[in-house]
Amino acid sequence: MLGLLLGPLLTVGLLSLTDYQLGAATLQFVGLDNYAELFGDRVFWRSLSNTLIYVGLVVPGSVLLGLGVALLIEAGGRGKVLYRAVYFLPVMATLIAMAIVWEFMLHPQFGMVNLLLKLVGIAPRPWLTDGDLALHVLAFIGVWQSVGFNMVLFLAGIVSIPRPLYDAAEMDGVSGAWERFRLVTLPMLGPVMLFVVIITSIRSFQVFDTVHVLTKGGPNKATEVLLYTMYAEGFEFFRSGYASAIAMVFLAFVLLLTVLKMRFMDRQVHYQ
Amino acid sequence: MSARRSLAWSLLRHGLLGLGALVMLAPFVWMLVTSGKPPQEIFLDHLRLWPQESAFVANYTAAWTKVPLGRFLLNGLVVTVAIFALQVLVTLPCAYALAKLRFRGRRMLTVAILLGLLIPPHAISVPLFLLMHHLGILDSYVALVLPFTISVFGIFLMRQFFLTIPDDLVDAARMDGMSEFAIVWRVMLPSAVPASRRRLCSHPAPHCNLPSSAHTRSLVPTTWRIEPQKSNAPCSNGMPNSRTHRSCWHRWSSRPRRKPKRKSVASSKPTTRLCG
Repeated sequence: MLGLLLGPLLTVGLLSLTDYQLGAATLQFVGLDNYAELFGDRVFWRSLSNTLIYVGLVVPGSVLLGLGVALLIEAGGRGKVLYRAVYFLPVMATLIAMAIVWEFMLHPQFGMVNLLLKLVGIAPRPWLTDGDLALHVLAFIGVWQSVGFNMVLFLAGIVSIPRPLYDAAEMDGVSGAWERFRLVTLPMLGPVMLFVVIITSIRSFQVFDTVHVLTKGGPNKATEVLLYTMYAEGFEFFRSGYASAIAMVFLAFVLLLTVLKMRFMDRQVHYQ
Repeated sequence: MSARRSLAWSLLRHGLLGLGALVMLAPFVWMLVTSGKPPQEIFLDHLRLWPQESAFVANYTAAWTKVPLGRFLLNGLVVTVAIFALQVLVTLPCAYALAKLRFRGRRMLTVAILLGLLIPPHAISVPLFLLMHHLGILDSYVALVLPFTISVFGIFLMRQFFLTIPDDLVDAARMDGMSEFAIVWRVMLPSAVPASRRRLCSHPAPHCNLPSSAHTRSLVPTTWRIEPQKSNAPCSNGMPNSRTHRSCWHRWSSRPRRKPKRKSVASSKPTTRLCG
């Protein structure tokens, strides 16, 4: 791990202080120039805000849907195994391959989505080439992909809530499904919730595959996200030093958000 | 009245879940039916689910003969098996050490693991690429496997699970004269089977999503990535427990539901302790 994760991380940190270009034989120490350039770059700010919007859409979406699906699956008798398998399928599938299928489905003229919309009389839309829509579409695919994972974690959490707690709640006059959920299920799911929220937000911060396959950051930078900017700088323009600086900023951001979230949520989570 | 209510509820439940399931399955279904359509049917301006003129045979033979698909599948298999074997070799002892052994710097290492969890594979792709270049192993299996031999997520997950195994068990094994490594393989591993089952089920997908070196060089066509999905279905490779020979879905649904949860509870505990 030291060699393969933290080592490269340190290298990235050092590279971000140089003007190294991929394949170049020499490099020069340029101090914080890369960072100065970064913070003056409009593309960077655009990509940062896009990433935040994406995370803001995907995390609540996939956590709430995951919880909802888990509750619905656990609530009834029949079809549990089937539903579980179906909802988990996108998690098992390879995102890059599935992104290609989505691209196909979202094709403005021949895509399934638009053809379906036409059937019910809604005008087709250019999903991926419309600057206002593209990021939302990507977020939808993000939710589609991560609901299953959250569902599995929630299912494990729900199943292990001790039955007697529900009986006790009933004795205490808690009646109705909603009250039972609010007073027993939700608090008992606290730790799972914490884990799920953190993992989901880390993963959605790392969105890259769908952007790379579907939009390449376009149209007009509407879906430019941090990792994609980094990739473009590093492997298309070969400015490794600059790309490293983006990577460092990115890491700092994820770290900060995770710590904040843990602090904030820790106060509200009860452990057994 | 209650019978009617429960019927309505069950209808609502199946309705909602079924609707969601349709959205979940749509891309897969579309992929499947499109794979059987001749070109002129793919580009139709109206919806047609099943191809009128089936081209399944033609399309699949083309896929098999135009590119060495078998080779790609083999590549996927080799890489996945190698990653899996190495990960088990690395992950379990690491997790055991972090969970059960007392040594200096243990907390530091745990924090480092958590930090590692935050590192996206892309962020370190530049140095990894350079590293591989200097080692001269670009364009080889090693380059595809090496970066993924260590799974921080796996270490973290297994550590959380090992924490829930009573210390007494470990002490008893020590009393019986087992070495530390023997404890890992013969005591911890069998009791960790439920958790590792989950891990195996979820494991190949991420590796095949982003082999970062493949990414940067785009030398791996997307087709080979189909294989690992298949290969993780019997997720019991190497587990010394005959009960695990059933499929993972089955195992989830049937028995030990308690254990994964304990992991989840524990998983947030130490984390928050570290930060609070």
